[in-house]
Parts: sequence; C-alpha cells; structure tokens
Amino acid sequence: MTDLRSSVQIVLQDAGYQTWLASIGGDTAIVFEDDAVMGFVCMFDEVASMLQRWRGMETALLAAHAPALHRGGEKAWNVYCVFLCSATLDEVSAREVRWIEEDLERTRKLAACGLGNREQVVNALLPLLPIQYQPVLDSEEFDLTHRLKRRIADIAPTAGDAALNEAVPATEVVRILGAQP
Amino acid sequence: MKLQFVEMSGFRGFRKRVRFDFPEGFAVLSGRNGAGKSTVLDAVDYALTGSINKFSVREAKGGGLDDHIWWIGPERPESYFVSVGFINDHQETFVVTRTPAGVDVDASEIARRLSKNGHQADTSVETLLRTALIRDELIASLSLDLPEQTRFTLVRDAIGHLVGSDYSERTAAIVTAANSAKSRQEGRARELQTELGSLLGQLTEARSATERSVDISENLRFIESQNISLPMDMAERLVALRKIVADRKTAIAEVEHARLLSQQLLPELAYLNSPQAQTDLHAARDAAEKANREQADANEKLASAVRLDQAERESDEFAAHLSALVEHGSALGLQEGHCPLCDAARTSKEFADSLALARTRLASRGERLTALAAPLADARRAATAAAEGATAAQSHLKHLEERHAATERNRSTIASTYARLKFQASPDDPASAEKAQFAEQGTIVRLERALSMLESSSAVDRVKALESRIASLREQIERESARLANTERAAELARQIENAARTVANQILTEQFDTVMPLLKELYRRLRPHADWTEIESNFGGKVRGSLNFVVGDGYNPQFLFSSGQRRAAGLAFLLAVHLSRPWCRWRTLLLDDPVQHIDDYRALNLVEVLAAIRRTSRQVIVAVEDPALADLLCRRLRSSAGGTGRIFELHTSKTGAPEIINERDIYPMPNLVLRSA
Repeated sequence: MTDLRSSVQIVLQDAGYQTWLASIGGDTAIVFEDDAVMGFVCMFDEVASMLQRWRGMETALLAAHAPALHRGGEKAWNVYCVFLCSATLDEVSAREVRWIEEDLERTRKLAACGLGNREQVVNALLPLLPIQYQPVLDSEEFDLTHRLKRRIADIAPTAGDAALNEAVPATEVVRILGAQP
Repeated sequence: MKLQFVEMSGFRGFRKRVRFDFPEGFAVLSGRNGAGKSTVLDAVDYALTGSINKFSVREAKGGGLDDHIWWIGPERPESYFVSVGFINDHQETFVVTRTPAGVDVDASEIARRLSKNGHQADTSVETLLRTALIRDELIASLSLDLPEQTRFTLVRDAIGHLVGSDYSERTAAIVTAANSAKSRQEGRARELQTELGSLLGQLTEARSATERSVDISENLRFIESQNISLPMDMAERLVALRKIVADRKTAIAEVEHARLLSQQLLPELAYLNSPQAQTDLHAARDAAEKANREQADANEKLASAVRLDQAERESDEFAAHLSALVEHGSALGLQEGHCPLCDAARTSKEFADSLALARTRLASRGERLTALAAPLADARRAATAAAEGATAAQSHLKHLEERHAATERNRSTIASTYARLKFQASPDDPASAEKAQFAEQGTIVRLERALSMLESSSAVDRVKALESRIASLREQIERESARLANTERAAELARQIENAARTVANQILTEQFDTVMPLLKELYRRLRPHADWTEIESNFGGKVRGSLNFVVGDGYNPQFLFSSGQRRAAGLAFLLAVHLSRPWCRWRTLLLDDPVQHIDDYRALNLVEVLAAIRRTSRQVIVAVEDPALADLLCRRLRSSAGGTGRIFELHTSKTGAPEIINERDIYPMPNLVLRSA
C-alpha cells in the first residue's frame, strides 16, 4: 500500500500536480490539484473491497471538501475520484471495475487493479497526465543522407560523398564506381 | 506558429463579414447543425489549399464544389474573401487571403512559413491541412477504414519529411548513366572484336599470298626489258604497274577490234585493188557519159518537136482569126473596089480569089496538126528513156566510187588506230597484225603475272603490318575488356546504391513509425475504443508497397471487429498520433471538426482528456462541437492559463438564414489550490 501510495504521488507530482494526504474516516486518500483539475486517489488492498466501497468513499470525499468545491466554481466540475488496487482481478471483476469508470455521475472516476509498478500506475492515471511519449524524429539516425552515405561507403568506399552530391555529374559517379577496387 | 484569426465574407453560409479571433490556448465553436462551425474550419482549409478536403466529390449534378464555395443566397455580400492569420511566439504575423480571383500567397510560401527550416521543400499545404484538421467526415475514412497502402502514405507524408532529400531521382540518374556507359563500352568491345575478326581474315589471305611468291628479281628484269619505268617505292610501283597492265589490256582489246575489221576488209581490198575494179569503174564512167549524151540528144529532138508543134498551134490560132475575117469580108463584100478588110484596091475577082485561097488554107490546117502530134510523142518518150538511162549509169558509177571511198575510210581508221596505239602493223595485212597482237597479249600476261608476283612480295610486308595491327588490337581489346568490367561493376554498384537508397528510406520510415508507435499506443489507451482490447499493435512497412495495418488481441483486425464508434475512437488515436508526430511542422494548432459523432459520452470524455493533455504540449486546440454541454466540458478541461487562454464562440442561424456569432466569451484560468483550503 505504501509503495502504491508513493508511486501515485510521484507520478502525479511529475505531471505537475500538487499532492497531499488526507484522512477520510479510517482511510487515507491522496488529494491532488493543478490549474485545471483536482481530485482524490483512494487505494484498496482487495478488489472486492474496492468494488464495495468506492461509491461511499466518493460521497465521503465530496462531503468533506464541499465548501472548498463550492468556492472552486467551474473547477468543481473537474473533480476526479481515482480508485486503485494492487491486487489483480478476474474477468468478471474487471468488467465491474470498468463500470466504475463508465459511471459519469458526480465526479469523473478512474479505477484500476493489479498495479505493481510505476508503468501500471501511469497507465491507470493516464487521463490525468500529460502526453507521455513525444517521438523524437529529427535525430541524425533518421537522416537519410547521413545513413545512405554510410551504406554507400560499404558498397563503394570512395563513392559515398560523390553519389549523393548533385553537383557531381552522374557520369563522374559512374567513373568512380568503375574504379572501385 | 498558431492560428490568430479567421475572417471571411461571402464565404459558404457567411454572407456578412465575420471575424474569429483565437486566443493562443484554445477555442470552442459551438452551435447546432448549419450554424457555421465547420465553415470556420473550412475557411482555414480553403484559404491555405484552395479547396475543402472533406468533399471527396468535386463535381456533381447541380454544380460542383467550386460553384458552392462562395455565397449563393440572396443579397450580394459586400465582398468575397477568406482571410487566415497566423502568429508566432515573437508576435510576428502572417496572413493568407483568398478571393474568387486567387490567393495572395502561393502554396510554396505558405508551406515555407508553416514548416521548420530544412523541410519546406518536402511539405505540401495539403499534407499540412490533412494532418492538422481532423474532421468528422475524415475520422473514419482516413483512419481505420483507410486502405492499408493509403494509411501508409498518410503516415509517410506526416512523419517521413524528416528522412531528408529523396535520392530516388539521383540514384536513378546514376543507374541510367552507368547502364549507358556499360552499353557504350559493350558496343566499343563489339566493334573491336569485329575489327579483329576482319584483320584475322585479311592476315590469312596475306599469308596465303606470300606462299605464292617466287623470284621477284626475274619479274623485275622482265618489266625492265619492256622499257617500263616504275617508281622505287613498292606500293607506288604496284599501283603504276597495275595501271600499265590495265591500259595495255584496254589497248590490245582495241587493236583486236581493228584487226578483225581489217580481216573483214580483206576481200573488198583485193577486189578494189584488182584490174577488173578499174575496168568496171572506167566502163561505168563511159556508160554514164554516153547516157548523158544520149539524154542531151533526146532532149534536143524533143525541143525541136515542141517548137514545131508550138508554131503550128500559133498558126492555127492565126487561121482561126483569118477564117473569121474571111467570113466577115465575104459577108461585107468588096466595098467600092476596095477590100473591106485591108482597104486595098481589088477587083471582084481578085477579092473572090483571095477569099477562096484563104478558105483552102484554112481547110488544111487540121491535117497538119495531126501530122505533128506523133513525132512529138516519140520525142517525149525518147527523152524520158534517155534520162532514165543517164540516171542508172550515174548511180552505178556513184556506187562504185562510194565502195572505193568506204573501204579507204575503214582502212584509214584501222591505220590511225594502229598508229595511235603504237601498234606496228598494216591495215592491209591482218595476218601480221594478228601475230603482233598475240605477241602483245603474251607480253601483257607476263606483265600481269609479274604484277601478281610483286603483289605477293608486298603481302609479306602486309602480313607484318597485319600482325602488328592485330597485336595492337588485342592489347586494345584487353584494355577495353577491363574497362567493360569496370562499367559492369559500376552498373552493379549503381543498382546496389539505388536499392540501398530505397531500402534505407524504408528502414528509416519504419524506424520512425516504430518511434511514433508508443505515442499511438498511448493515445489508443487513453481513448479506450474497446473495453476488452485495450492495446493495439501495428504492422508497418513493405518493400514493394508500403502498408500499415493495426492488430488487436491475437492478431485481429480492428477495422472489421470494432463498431462504428469504436473505429472512430481508434481512428482518432491514429490521426492524433500523426498530428503530434510532425516535427517538421511549425504550425502548432490542432483543428477538430465535430470529432465526437457516434462516440458515447464516456469515450467523448476520454477524447476531451486527450485534448487537455495535448493542450499541455503548448498546442492550440480549436474544436467545433454541437453539444453545448460538451462545449462547456471542453472549456473547463482544455486548461485556460495565463500563457494560453481559451474562448468560446456560440453560433446560431440568424433570421436571414445565415450563421452568426451570438456569444463570444473568454475562458479564464481557474482558481488554484481549491482543495488545499479545505
């Protein structure tokens, strides 16, 4: 539980959220907020417990933060309740967990189980996070000229530069190719 | 670079001038169907590309797309234009305005302004729009439902610009040049081989000729014995001797012709030179003279007969006159002792006697005329016979003389031919001439044989020259063969380079796509098109025809597995991944036209969250939606901030039927740390 709680906070903080812990009844929740979104993360040891208690937890959290939410105005529409569980689930439970997410009443719900590592935590919190992958496509390795020169150098060692240089007449390239050892 | 404004007048449904100023963060266009939301995005498309890419059919009954671009309703607009403004981080602006007359900035300049340095040449405004503007019409058709090759092309166009220059033309030119050089070299080698073959044939002939060679000096001595002067150089000597032999052959042929003619003349000469010929000639001359004389006599007699006949005829005429006078005088009678005709004094008797005498003379005139006719006819016949005899005699004489002359002419011709050809013979002695001719022909044969021998001796030199030339040619063939090997190697290497260019480009593209794939997978996970298949894989590439296929679960194709809404959601993930993977693009605006049709609330919420995440990459998001609640949700979630505020435009259809903005509202940043205060 402690690991999951830490992981969630780290992931959220990395995404630009402020996080802190709050006590709701006997449970501990992570509260998070940034410029546009705020919410709560509740963690469970058992899937069954999560399925049984998530709605109550949502109600309790909203009640406890009602004044603040009221002051938040439009932002109060951007409240997330996240229910996470480290235990794995079976196929039937998976469908029930999905139904939690598809319940659009009151808050936006995220629910996930079987969270054993950071990647799984990121996947669970993905709707709250910035885009994770920014492809870097302009590295030298993707430069056709650069790579083709190397490939041509393997084919004809002295023709690497001339073959791709438009200033060198094709006939001259042919001469160089013919002179290859 | 972000979209700063869209302004238009007389464009599509907007008759009046309308302007949309967009903040740097996001803008939401909200309104019912026909309220003009899509037209705002159409205006961007049309201004930049001159077309509206959501219409796959440009021509149709009732008018094509071009007929419906500008306002077609009642009341003419004050102007027709669409204007699109861009602004960069340094607040530098760039405006493109298109009117029915055209655009004020050409496509290459638009592409240059909206692309990063180094990629302008490879970018088209169509690709730019296709990857920036995601429309409801295109979400399904341009993503999952796209043919695999077209999908590949879309990705290649979007991410492939980073590959750099396309070397296909360059490498093709090298292959062409290499093949051309190879062909030329092959041609050269063939020519040399052919020449070698020819020389080898000549060498065989020359070697055979040398084997026929005998004593050269003997032949030279014979030539000298003929008083023939030849040059010292062997080649020139052969040429001169060849000409001499040819000339003498021509001459002896002419001599033979003359000789045969003299042979034919021999009997005629024998006759003409004989006494009989002289006797015949004299006889003919005598006969001709005699005939001439006889003709003269006959002519004289004829003339005399003619004169007599003429005189008689004249007398007859006088008699006719006299008869008339006699009859007249008789009728008048003597006039007082005087003749009435001549007034001479006559007696009646004298007058009557005179009349009687005149009548007697007149009575005998017919008899005299008849007596003269027969001698005249005889004289005429004799004259004609004499003339014929003279002609025949002259003709015979002329024939004899001509025979003598013709024979003399032929003899003279033969003599002059012999003289001209320096042939020592008489025209009157064909036998001696024949002997001399045969002797000359024997000499010519000797000369020709000597020539052949001398040529044989030159064949030795020719063999040496040919052997030298063949050796040189073989060396040349060796060198050219080496060059041919070089050109063949060059052609093979050029082909390898061309293949390498193609392969490397495909490899890079595949690697780029593999680099992009995690983002696609992330967007797919975020949009959650399908409850069970939460992950998607791809199969990208293909050497001959590039293709891109998606796979879920155990190799299933989502194209045929997902519902319409699910395909749209998956398609959105694909299109958004393509949009976010355009490092060549300077323009950081995502345009979405009604992206949530057929998508349920839950997946619409997922999309909003994805757009919010995209907003966090400093991109401007402009989205048109019909549902006001969804518009509100977008306004709340798309993160208005100090660095990028939002704005909502509420559109509706006015009383005139034209769309108009009824509300334009800025979306301000939300309060911070709301929950912290609890």
